[in-house]
Amino acid sequence: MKLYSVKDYLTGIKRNDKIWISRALSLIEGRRIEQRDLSCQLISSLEKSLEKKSGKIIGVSGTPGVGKSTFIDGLGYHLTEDLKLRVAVLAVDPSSIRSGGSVLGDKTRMQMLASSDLSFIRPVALSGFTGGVHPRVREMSLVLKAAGYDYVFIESVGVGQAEFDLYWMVDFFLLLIGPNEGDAIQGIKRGILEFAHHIIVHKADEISKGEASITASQYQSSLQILRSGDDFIPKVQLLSTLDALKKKKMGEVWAILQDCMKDYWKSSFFQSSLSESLKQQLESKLKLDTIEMIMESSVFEKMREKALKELSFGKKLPGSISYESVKKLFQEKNLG
Amino acid sequence: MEDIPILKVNNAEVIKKQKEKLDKLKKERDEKKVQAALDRITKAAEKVREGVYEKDYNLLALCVHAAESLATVGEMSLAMEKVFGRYKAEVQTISGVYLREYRDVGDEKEMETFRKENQKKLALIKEKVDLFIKEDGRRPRLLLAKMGQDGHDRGQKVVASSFADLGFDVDIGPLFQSAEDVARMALENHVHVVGLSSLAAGHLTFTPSLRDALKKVDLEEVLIIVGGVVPPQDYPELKANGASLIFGPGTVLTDAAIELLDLLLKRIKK
Repeated sequence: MKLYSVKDYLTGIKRNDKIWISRALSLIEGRRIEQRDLSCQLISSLEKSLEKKSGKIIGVSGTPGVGKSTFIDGLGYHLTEDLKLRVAVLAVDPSSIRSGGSVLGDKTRMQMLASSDLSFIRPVALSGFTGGVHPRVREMSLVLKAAGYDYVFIESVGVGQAEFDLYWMVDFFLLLIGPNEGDAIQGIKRGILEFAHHIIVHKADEISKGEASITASQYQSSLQILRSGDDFIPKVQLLSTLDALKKKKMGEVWAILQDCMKDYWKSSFFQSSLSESLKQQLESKLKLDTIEMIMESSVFEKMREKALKELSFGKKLPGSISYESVKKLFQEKNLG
Repeated sequence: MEDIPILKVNNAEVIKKQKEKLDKLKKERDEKKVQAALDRITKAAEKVREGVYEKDYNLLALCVHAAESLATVGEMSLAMEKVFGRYKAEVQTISGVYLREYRDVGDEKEMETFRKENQKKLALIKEKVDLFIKEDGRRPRLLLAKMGQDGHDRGQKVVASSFADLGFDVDIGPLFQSAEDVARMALENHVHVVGLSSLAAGHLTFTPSLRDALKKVDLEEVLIIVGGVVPPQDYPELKANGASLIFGPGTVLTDAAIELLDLLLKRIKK
C-alpha cells in the first residue's frame, strides 16, 4: 500500500474525492505499524472538519438473512434518489477462520444504491475479529462523515449477541428481526431490548403480516416494561422493504425513522450514554491495540514457536503450555 | 496446447456496423407507428401484472407486431421494463468447499501423491498470502468482474469461493457491468486486482476498456487478470492491452493463485 501525507488524504477527503476516501479507508485497515501511526494522525486531524459536519452514523444489525442489505439498499435509494442526500455504507462480511479470506457479496445486494452518484459502498472483511464488526469501522465511518456523507450506514455481519461493539460506535442503532422471530431469539432478546434504539420487524409483507404484528407487539410491550425509567423508549416498526419500494412508500418509512432518531437525540438518555460510548470504545480499543501489538511482536513469535515445539513433544496439554509460556513472558519482561 | 483454428471476430468493427445499421433503421422507419406499438406493449404489461390475461394483452403477439413496425428488441424489452423492472441476478456463494477438498486425505493410493502435492501448494500459498499482508498491510483483495452480455457466472463463483479459501478477500461483481461500473467498484472497494471473467468472447473488447476506465479513476496500479474461455491466439493482444495474467480453460486454481501472488509480491518489492 502506498502511503501519502496526512494533508494529501485530508484535502482529498474534504473534496469527496473517491480515490482519497478509498485510500484512507484502506490505510485504517492497514496492519503495518507505519500505517497505524499515519492513520492515527489522520483521524486526529479529521476532528476539526468533523465539527462542521452533520452526518450521522447508523448501525444496522440483525440475524443473518433478515434482509439488512436489502433494507439499506432500499432506504439508501430513497435518500439518494428522492432526497438527494449522500449515503455511504460500510458492509462487514465474515471471513473464514481457517484461511482468513472472505467472499464479500453484500454489495451485489445493494445494486440500486451502488449505482447512485451520491453513494459510496465499501465492503469490509471481518478479518478474524470478533464482535460482529471490524473494530476500526468507527474510524472508517469518520472518514466518510468528513467526506460529506449525510448518512453512514454500518452493516454488521449479523451474529446476534456478540455484536454490541457496534452499538457503541454509532449515533443510532437499528435492529432488524424476522417476522417470526418473536420466540426464536429469546436467548438474545434481553441484549436486543437493552441495546437497540429502534427495531424493525422486517419482511413483513402481505403473507407474514399477521405473524409480524404479533412479534412486533411482543417486543413493544417488553420494551415498555424494561425501559420504563428512561425518557426514550425504542419503537418497533413493521416493514417490507420490497413492498415499500414497489408502492413508493419509502418516504413514509423514512419519516417514521427520522422521528425516532430525533426523539432519541433529544432525550436525556442519549446525553447520558455519550460518555459511556466513549468509555466503551476506549476499552475495546485498548484491548485490541494491546493484543495486536503483542501478537505482532517478535517476542510473541518466538514464544509461539517455542510453545508449538513443546506441543509436539506431546507431554503437556495446550492449555498449560499456553498459560506457562505467557506467564513466563510477562515475568521476563517485568510486566506482571 | 496446440493451436486450434478459431474464427476471430473483430468486435469493434461489428459494433460499428451494428450501430450504423440501427441508425439507418431508426431514420427510415415510421417513428409514430413504432411508438404506438411500444406503448401497447407497456399497457399490456401493466394488465398482465394486474393478473389480466386476455387475448389483446398477449405480449408475444404485441412484440411481433412491434417488430413488424421495425421496433428493436432493446426497445421492446425497455417497454416491458417500465412495468416489470429489470431482472437482478442474485449472487449466492458458499465457501470452504475447496479448502476441504484439498485438505481431505483419503485412502486411495493413487490419490495420495496428488493430495500431498496440493498440501504443499496450500502451505506455499498461505506463506505467500501472509508475506503479502506483512508487506502491504492488507490481505490481497480481488474483484471478480463480469462485463457485457455474458451471463455465465459459474466460473466467477468457483474462482471466488476457492480464492477466498486460499486467503484472498474476494469481491463479487454483479453481472452485465460496463467498464465504468467495474472501475467504480474497484475504486470504492479498493482492490489490488481485478479479475475479468469472460466466457462470451468479449475479452478483446472489455480488457482495454477496463484498463482505460481504471486509469480514469486513478487506479493504474490495479492489476488486471483475465480468465475464462480465452484462446491462446489472443494472449499477446490481451497482454498488450492491460492484462497481466491470463488463465484459460484447464487452469489449476492453486497454480493461478501462486502465479498471481508472485506477481503481487514482485510489484511491492519494486
